[in-house]
Amino acid sequence: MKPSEKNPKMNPEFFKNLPSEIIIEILSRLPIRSIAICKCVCKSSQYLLQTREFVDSHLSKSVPGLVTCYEFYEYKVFEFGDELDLKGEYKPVTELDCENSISPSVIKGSVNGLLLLHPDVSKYHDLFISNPINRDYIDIQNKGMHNHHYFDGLVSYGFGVSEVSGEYKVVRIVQKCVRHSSTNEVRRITKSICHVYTLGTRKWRKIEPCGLMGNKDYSIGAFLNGSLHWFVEDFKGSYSILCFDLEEETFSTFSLPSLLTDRETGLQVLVALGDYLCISDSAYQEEVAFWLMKEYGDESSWTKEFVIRKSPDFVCAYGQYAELVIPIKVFENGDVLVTWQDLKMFYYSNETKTTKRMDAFGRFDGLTPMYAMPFTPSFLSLEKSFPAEDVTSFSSFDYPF
Amino acid sequence: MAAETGTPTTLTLKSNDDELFSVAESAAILSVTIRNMVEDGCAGGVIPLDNVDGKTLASVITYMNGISAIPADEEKKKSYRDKFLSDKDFETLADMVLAANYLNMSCLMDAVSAKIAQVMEKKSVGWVRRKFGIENDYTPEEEAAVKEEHKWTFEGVETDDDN
Repeated sequence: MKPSEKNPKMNPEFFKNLPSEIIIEILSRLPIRSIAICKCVCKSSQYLLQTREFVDSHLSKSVPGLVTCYEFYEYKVFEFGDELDLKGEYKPVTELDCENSISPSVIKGSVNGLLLLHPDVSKYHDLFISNPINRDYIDIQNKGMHNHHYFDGLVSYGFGVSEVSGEYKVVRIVQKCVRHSSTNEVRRITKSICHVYTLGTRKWRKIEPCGLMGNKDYSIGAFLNGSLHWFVEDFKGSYSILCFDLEEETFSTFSLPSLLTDRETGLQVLVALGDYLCISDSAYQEEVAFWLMKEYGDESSWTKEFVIRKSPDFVCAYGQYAELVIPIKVFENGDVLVTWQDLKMFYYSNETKTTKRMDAFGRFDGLTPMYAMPFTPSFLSLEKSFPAEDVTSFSSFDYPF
Repeated sequence: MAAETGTPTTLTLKSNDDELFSVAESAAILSVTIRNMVEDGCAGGVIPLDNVDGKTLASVITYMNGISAIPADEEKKKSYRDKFLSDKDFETLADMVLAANYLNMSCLMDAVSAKIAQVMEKKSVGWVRRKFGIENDYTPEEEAAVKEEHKWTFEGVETDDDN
């Protein structure tokens, strides 16, 4: 007897027989690479994996990994779960080289698998939204914007999605300022102007009134709970958080933990860390303190959640400890992945209380700019989600290998 | 639902190949489908489960009994689920995902889907076609194009023996 006769189930045709919602349920748990392999299996699987149902189901299960950007043009996306293999070397799920297409860029925001990219060569004009997994992008530069009079101002960005309507919005705040004639230091802000670009509308809208951003340049908004948040330092040494509700398009302000107020300025960063707003304060000599707003919107809930000792490797070329440490991810066991000064990555072990250099996502030489940001990969289609926009694919020319 | 304590209510489930199974109501109502029947008072006699065969139902009941014996400790439940699924082959997992869907058992559905996804990791296009019984309906040109588009995915994938 042939095996197939003995067991009629030897060759089940169950992909075709399973309802598509179950197929989606299974495939949406696969790593990005395996999903791409399934796309190559047959036409109906390719179709299924491009449906809104699949994209949404996958996104709802997608966990934050990492996007790194080396020398402003080499982008790599990494997937990992709640444990990192510190000794191993992670293979990126995808790589992009954007030097020939959108020119070397800085990441100004990341939400639901989309990146806001800003070419560093031009200060104000160019902005791109890209899905590195789908390998395409939209150019949202300058649509209906007149930028000439913003030259020499301070510019902050944010990118997020509104909570109810689910609209993806890019926020740009430009502050006109008066600078010191010889040092070029900003003395005061004369005007603060906010524009919002809702993806799919092809235009920038002015939002009034605009909140004050303080004296920070190139600040990136932390996206959490449908709002963007920026760390604000005024010119008198006091701090607050400026919050922009992406649904209502209104500004509000949070106050900060009182302990922060007498610290050296310029060494604090605001990020969204998991479900919390987090301020990383590197102004201490020996350690970096991470403050979390435990109850979102409750200013009294700021808690100094953990402190990591500075590694001897944190010493920069000038022999100083005082450099920016930005948390990327806190693991369940309390370990923390951080970047240091946009040059290296470190891993803090909660068990040994030590901070070690981390090369699993590539060996960074500590001299070339390297940027890393939490990134939740998705198959969100720019073309289907924003049909009014012109979507361009990164050509196969943009493969780095 | 039986309110008295001490005498656990037992339900009788019938598979589509007419096997009968006794199971404690407290375990069986992990299935929302069965719970609804119990709440609607339709569970007096035998509960027919037309979409589940006896072999699969036996396995699901083992799971129901096992998981409901564990107190509210998510970690222990998770390790039970992992152990329960560890020796199941691909075909059994496929039957179980259908049963979990029909019985509306989200915890089993999640666990089996995740397990199938785990088995599929790093597998080749040919493997997926074989295991899922999928016919390749791409023309050679279309297949070359879609593979070119996703060429970044093929690094580190198990090599195909027939493809």
